[in-house]
Amino acid sequence: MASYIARRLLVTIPVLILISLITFFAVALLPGDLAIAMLGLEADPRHLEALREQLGLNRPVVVRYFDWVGDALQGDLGHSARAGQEVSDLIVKRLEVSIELGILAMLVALAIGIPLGLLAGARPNTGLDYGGTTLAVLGAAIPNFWLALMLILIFAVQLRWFPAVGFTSFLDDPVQNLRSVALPAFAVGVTQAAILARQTRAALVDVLRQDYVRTAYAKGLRERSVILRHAFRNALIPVVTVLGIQVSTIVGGFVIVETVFNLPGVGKLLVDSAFNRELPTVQAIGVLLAGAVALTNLAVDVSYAFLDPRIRYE
Amino acid sequence: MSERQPGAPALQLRERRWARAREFARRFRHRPAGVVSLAIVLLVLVAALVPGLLSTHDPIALSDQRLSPPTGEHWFGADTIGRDTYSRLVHGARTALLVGLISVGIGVGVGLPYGLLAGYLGGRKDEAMMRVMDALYAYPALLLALIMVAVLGSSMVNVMIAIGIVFVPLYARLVRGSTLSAKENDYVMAAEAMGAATPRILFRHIAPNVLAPVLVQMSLGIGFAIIIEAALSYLGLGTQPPDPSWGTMLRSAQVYMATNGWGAFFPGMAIVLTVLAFNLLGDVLRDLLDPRLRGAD
Repeated sequence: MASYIARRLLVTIPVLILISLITFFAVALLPGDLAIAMLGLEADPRHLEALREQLGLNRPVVVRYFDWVGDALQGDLGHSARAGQEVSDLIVKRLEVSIELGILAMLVALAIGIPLGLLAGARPNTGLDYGGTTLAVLGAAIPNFWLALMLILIFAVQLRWFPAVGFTSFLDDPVQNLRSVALPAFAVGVTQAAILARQTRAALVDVLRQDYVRTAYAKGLRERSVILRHAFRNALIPVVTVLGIQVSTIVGGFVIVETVFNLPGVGKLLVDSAFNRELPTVQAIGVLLAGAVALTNLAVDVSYAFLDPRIRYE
Repeated sequence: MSERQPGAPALQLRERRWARAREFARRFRHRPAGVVSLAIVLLVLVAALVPGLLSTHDPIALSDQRLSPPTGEHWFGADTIGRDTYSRLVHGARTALLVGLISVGIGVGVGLPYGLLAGYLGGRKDEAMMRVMDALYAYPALLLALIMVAVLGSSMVNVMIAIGIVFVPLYARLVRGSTLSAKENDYVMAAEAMGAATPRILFRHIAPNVLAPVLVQMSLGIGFAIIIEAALSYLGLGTQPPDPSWGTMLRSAQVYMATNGWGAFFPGMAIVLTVLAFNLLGDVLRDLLDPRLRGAD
C-alpha cells in the first residue's frame, strides 16, 4: 500500500507543476500589453510603467515564471493594487467562508445523494427508482446559480426563513452563521446530490448481482444487513471516484453561488478580481483552487487503498 | 477503397449505409425521451435561426408595463423597462446555441486530432501529451473559463474560446482512449503495411471508429456550455448587452426579484429545458450507438 500511495504522490507533482504553468502562461501569453489590459487604454503612462515594473514585465517570461513560483512557495502571491493589500492576506481572510461552504455543500450532497441512490438501487425499476432517476436527471440540468436565485425568492423573499444575502462568522453567532450559509450550501450541494445518487444507484445495482451478495442472502441475513454491510462498501468505490470529480464542480459552484448570495469568500474575490482585471489575484486564486482540487483527487486515490483490499495487498 | 471503384460494390455500400440509418431512425422513434428532447432542440434551433417566427414583440421595444407579471399581452411578463420577457428569451436562444455549438466545435476541433495522435503514437509521447491534458482537466471548468475570460476580456466570442479550451481535454481523453483500441484493428495495420501516411491513417481509418462516443459527448457538451455561458453572463463576464443572453436576463432580474420573481423564473426554465433536452438526447444517442446495448430495445 505504501508504494501505491508513493506512486500517486509522484504523479500529482507533475500535475501541480502543469497547473502552475497553465495558470501563469494563460495570463503571461496574453497578446498585447498586460499593463494596458489591466489599467485600460487611457491609463497614465507613468502608472503603466510602474505596473510593468511591479509585475516584472520587462524581464523574460521564463524568469518571471520561476520568480512567481518561488514567491508563491514562500507565501507571496503578489500585491493587489486596487485593494492595496497582499493577495495572500486577501485570500486568507476569505478562506473561512469558502471552506465552510465547500464542506457543507459536500455534506448536503452526501446526505441526500447516497440514501436516494441506495433506495433506488435496492429497488431497481420501481416507482422509487424512476422517481430518483428523474430527480437526478433534472438536478444535472439545473444551473446552481439559478437554483440559488429561486431559493432566495422562496425562502428569503417570500417566507423570510433565511437571510437573502450576507455572512455571519461562526465565531460571532453560530446560529446566524448556519442560517446565512444554509441556502448557498443547499444550492451547491443539491445538484451534486443528483449526480451522486445516480452513481450510487448504478454501483449498487452492479454489486447486488455479485455472488457474495447471493451468499449473504442464502445465509439468511436480512436485506438491510446485506445492503449496508456487504454491498454498500464495495459500491462505494465508484462513488468515491465521482466524489473526487465533484470537488472540482463544487469549487466551480461556490465561485458563482458566493456571488449570488454576496458571501465574502474566495469565489467572490475571484469574480470581483476578474471583473476588475486584477490578473495577479486571478492567477493566485486559480492556482490555489486548481491545486486544492488536484490534492483532493490525490486523497481520493489514497482512500481507494483503504476501501479496496485488492489495492491494499498489491 | 471501395468508394473509388465504380459500379456494384459502391452501390452496395451506399445501400448498407442507408439501411443502417433507417434502422437507427426506427430505434430512435421508439425512445420517447429522445423524441421529446429532439423536438425541444429543434424548437431552440428555430428560435435561434428565425426568432421572428416565434417571438411576439420586438425584444428591445420598451413599454409602460414595467415589471409586469405574466399576462395575455406579455406571456412571461415584462422586465424593468417594459421589454417582453418571452420575446427576449426567444432571441436569447441564438446566443445559447451559438456558444454551445462553437465552443464544442473548438473542443472537438483541437481535442480530436490531439487524442488521435496521442493514442496512435503511444508510449512516452502519449504519456507526455496526456499529462498536459490531465492538468487542464484537473482545472474546475468554470474556474478555467473565468480565468480565460478575465484574461481575454468579456465578450461572447471570448466566452466561446474559453469554454472551447475547457472542452479540449475532455475530447482529447475520450478520443485517445478509443484510439488505443481502434489502432489494434487489422485494417489499421494493413494501412500501415501499405505505407499510408500518418494523417491518412488517423483521419480515414481510425477517426470514423471513435466518432460515436464523441457524438454523444458533443450533445452533453452543448448543454454544459449553455450553463457555463449563462453563468459567465450572469456574473457580468460573458455576453454583454445589448446582445440578449439568458444569463444576462437573470442578472438584471435579480435586482427586482422582490417585486417580480417571474423575471428570474423564466430565463432559468429556458436554460433548464434546453440543457435537459441536450442531456437526454446525449443519453439516448449513447444507448443507441453503444454496440453492447444494441438490440436491447
